[in-house]
Amino acid sequence: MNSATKRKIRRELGDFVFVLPAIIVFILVIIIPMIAGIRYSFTDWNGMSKQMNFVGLKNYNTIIHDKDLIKPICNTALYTVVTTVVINILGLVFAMMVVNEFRSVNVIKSIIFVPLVVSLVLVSYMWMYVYSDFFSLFGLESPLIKEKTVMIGLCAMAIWKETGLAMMIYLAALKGVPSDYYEAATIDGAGFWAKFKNITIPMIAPAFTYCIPYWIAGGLRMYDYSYVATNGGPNHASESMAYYIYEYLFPYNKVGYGQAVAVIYLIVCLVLSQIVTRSLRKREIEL
Amino acid sequence: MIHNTRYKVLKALRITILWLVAIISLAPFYVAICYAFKSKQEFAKTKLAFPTSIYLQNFVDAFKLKNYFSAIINSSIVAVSVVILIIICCSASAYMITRKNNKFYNFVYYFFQMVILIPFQTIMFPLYQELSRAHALNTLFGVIFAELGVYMGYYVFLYAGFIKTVPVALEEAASIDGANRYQVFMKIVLPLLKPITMTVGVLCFLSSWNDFFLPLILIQKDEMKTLPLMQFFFFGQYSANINLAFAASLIALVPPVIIYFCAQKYIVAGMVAGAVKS
Repeated sequence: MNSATKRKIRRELGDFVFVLPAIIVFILVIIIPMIAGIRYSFTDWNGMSKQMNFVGLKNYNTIIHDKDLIKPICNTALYTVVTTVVINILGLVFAMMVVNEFRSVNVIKSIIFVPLVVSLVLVSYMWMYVYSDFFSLFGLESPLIKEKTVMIGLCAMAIWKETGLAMMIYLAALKGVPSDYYEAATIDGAGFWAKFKNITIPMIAPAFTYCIPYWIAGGLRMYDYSYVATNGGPNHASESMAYYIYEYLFPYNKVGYGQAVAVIYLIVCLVLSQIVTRSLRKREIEL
Repeated sequence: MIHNTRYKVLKALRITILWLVAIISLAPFYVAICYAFKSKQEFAKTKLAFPTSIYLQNFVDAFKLKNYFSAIINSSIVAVSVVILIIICCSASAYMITRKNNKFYNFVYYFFQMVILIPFQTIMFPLYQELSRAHALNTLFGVIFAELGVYMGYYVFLYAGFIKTVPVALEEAASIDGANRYQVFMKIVLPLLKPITMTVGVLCFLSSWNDFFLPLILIQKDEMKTLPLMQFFFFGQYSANINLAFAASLIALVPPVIIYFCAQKYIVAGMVAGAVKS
């Protein structure tokens, strides 16, 4: 090996040092657990015993016949759709309301955004007591105690916490739209809706491409509210997919089955995010 | 003239609606404050009426709760360590990935990006096992290490987006002057990254400070618990004294709120960075 190649290798290694710590952490925290998790999904391991039997696709076969999975799937789907739709619509509406500045605009923006810094635990408890104490002033009962309304009660917490973030993102996007576009459209006699449809929506399309997959991914992962606010209840009515997996991995000690559900869940999450992002990107170009 | 009146009415309506939204945003805080600033007896009588006198005993009692103070310390150690390590790891790797821009480094970047999409549930049990084998359960190190891995992808992404906008000319000039790549990075690049470093630091602190799920599975010992775990525990344990639990939780909310008001612009900048491309 000549000295030039040696020097080149040494330089490349020196550059590699920059990414090395991140790669090591990444392999230890993400890659190795991921591979181990996939391996566990083909076993009947309970998570504690030394013995672990390879059972092939049995766990995956069980998933297909698992009737208890229907409820968490429906709950997760409902939560994802409701939070994504409501948060994005409200976020966009509020952003459009604050984009033309007025005196107290910054105070209002700060207030609407502040729930984002509150921990999920405190959000859950604050809302539990809002539901029980504040609602009772109007003779309403807490949505969290009824099977039918519990998921909507959890959705409201997320909407309260995250609408401010959507507002800020859409606001930044709206500020990037050149104002002469609107002026030209006004001179041409375009009304509010025409301007909204033909200028605003196409111009802020990148924000949709970011926000919609962001909240879909967040909704699919929802776990904390189910755990803290309702503990999956009443009568399993507020279990999300992530909560269901947690139950099998920890309290039920059925790691093999839990991991198999987790693997399917991972695939669904990845595929859904990809499909949604791709189709939004495509629309972005069309608009 | 008519147009002008219509505009004014619409504007007034808009502002009224926004204030209503703001009030709704604050309402849950009001409930928490009512609980925290009233004694149990007073709350039973006056419920959600505006607190007439400020009753601070709940806050005093909160500090006396077993392991509450250690939870504050634990949360601080975890959050500060994670912030520092994230800034070092992510700025360095994002720098190399962006400047190299070849197949290998793009592949590494793609892998980091994947973490953002992986639901934590798929890796949590094996990760728990791994840390248990390494005797890192119930240690702050375990929590720091796991958070580092789980958060990394997003912050590499934020750094990479910013570094793309930093011109290379300065770095080239410095290396012609004889600085090696580490000096170039430390002395030239890092100072230029200050705005994004602020953003990453603030966002990362908030995530770590508020993180509930990771510590929940990695920590069982009371004296090692972080604040969100303690809050969860208090509300379960002191269900007869919710006033105390709310006081303890409001104290935990102080650092994020201070950071929020001081560094709002960095938070917003980071949150919208991915969404609005110029």
